[in-house]
Amino acid sequence: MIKMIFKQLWNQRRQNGWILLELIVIAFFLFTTSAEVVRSTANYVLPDGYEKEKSYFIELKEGSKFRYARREREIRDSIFQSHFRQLLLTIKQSPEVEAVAIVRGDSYPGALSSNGNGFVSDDTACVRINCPWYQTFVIDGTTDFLKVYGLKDARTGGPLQLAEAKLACPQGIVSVAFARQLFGRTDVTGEKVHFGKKLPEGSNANNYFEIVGVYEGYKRSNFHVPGNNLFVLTSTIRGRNEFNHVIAYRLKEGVDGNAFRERIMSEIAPHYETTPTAIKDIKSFGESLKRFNDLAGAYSRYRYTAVMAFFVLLCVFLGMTGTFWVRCRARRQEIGLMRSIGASQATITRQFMTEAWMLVTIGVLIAQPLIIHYIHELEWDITDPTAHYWQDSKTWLTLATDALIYILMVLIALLGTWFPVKQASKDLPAEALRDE
Amino acid sequence: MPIIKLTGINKIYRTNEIETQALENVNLEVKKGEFLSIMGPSGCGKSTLLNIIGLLDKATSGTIELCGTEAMTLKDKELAEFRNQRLGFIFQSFHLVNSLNVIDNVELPLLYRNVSAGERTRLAKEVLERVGLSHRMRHMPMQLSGGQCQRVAIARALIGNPDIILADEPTGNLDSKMGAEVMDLLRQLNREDGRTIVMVTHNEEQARTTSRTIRFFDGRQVE
Repeated sequence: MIKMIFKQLWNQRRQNGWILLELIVIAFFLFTTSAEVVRSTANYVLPDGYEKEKSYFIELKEGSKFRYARREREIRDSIFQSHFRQLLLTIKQSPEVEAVAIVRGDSYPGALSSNGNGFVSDDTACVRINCPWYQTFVIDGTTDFLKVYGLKDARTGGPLQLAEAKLACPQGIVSVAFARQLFGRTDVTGEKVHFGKKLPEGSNANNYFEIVGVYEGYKRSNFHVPGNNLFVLTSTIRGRNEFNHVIAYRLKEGVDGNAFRERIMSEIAPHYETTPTAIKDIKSFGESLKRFNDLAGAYSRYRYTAVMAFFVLLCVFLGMTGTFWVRCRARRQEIGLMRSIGASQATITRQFMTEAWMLVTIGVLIAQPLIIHYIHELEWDITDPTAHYWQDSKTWLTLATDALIYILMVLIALLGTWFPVKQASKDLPAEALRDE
Repeated sequence: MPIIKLTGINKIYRTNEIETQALENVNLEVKKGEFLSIMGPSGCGKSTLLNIIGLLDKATSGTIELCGTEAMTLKDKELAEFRNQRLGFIFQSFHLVNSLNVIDNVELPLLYRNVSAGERTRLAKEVLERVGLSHRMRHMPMQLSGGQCQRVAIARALIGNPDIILADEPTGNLDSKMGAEVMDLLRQLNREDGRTIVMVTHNEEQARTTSRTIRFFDGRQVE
């Protein structure tokens, strides 16, 4: 049957040429409008790498009535640090809290600013990459930030844990993408990484860190794949800077985050209003991400591209169903003949639908060079072509989008064929054959 | 036992305003191996009758028995199977599929019977040889003369080895020479293969060469 249909399509190549041209144009435009939606959606559904509603951070500000102005720097630092430690202890000792960590002011997902740096591998390749990095502070030789952030071990998929004994600085934990890009592999524990450039031995001991763990993807925003980022563990809180010190905490299972937030704001915050560590705001990681996405217009852009894609799809639907509808109606006599020589209604429907499927398949295949050219020219912000996220590969994104538009076009073609053929094949063959 | 038996066949075409009686109480029996011609003026119901015999149209009332099968009760799939295996059609305007070449057109009925490609080709070549078109197998219908197109249609009707051949003015679109050739072919099929043929015609001369002629007027059998 397929061979016969193919022969028919080939023998009518001139008439089918117009339909194929329409299908090629449709495939191309559907691809161009769907590609970004596919990419964003595929990125969005990737796991965040943490639990958005479990982890919170407290932003600090200088209390309204507190003035450092007339004090010495050492005294100012000491005042800040003592208040900061006191607040940290209060949060840590709260029965609702499971773990607490101190991080730099930009070191949480959806942070409005970021700190980027160049990093150089310590091996002979001396590869250099640029990427944002997070910072967490180790107090008294310990930190609970892994628990707060819920990072997952790249090797086991379970919670990432570091041996207590290893918590000596300078140390860092890196994402899988970072490890791949810098070293071309993921088992990089024990490797050294230099900030900026590799200095001669002994010239600056603080210019590097040792990798003590590799974590699975960790998203900085919803519509991006987990990229190449890292956490650097710093041993001390330096100076006084309420903007650069954020208290992050993770709540125990079953604790209501909002109730705890309200309790902090009503019971604890007032005590710090006149200190250098007044509480400015408390946000969950999820809320932080939402704020970031709102400000960056990520959701609006996503909605816009989705609406555009839907509109194109609607036009495609109307155009294609119309084409296939007319095509089937024009062949009513042929349908009558087929029935007169022994084809049942089901056989005719099957034959026409197979034909529609073949036309779409040929159309989509012919459109591929155009699509490949388009995707090649497209400047997508691909972070790591060698990463293990298929979303980061133009090839896979092309294939995924191709598969989507192909399925959509086949469905539309089948729908546009099914109705008129079903209708025409229901007619008595004598009536169909009379049709002039 | 008749191969075709029509009893009390009525056919009424209804539109919103008009009701037209195309056939009125038609009773007809055709024996196996008979070559029956149906004659009558235009619009008298000849083609309607042929379509009803060929199960291409439905009678408003009455019963049709073909090859011992009560045809009115058959479901779509059974009807399709019946048409495919027992009936062969030859139309005035040939009704060839223009997007398929001669051999593919002839093979079509076997395609619906799920016959293998090799067997289909073998049988198609055989019948095309019989109708004298073996040298035109790869031609498209548009490249053939009217007579050749009708031969292709005859070959298509023959390939399924049907019990009954129904021909609706098979020479209506042909000049007299080609018409005579097609008639010779039909007579040969009737004489040599013993096939039952029911043919609608306007041509008295052609009707005289068949074994029996019935005449219609205003939907009624008058002779």
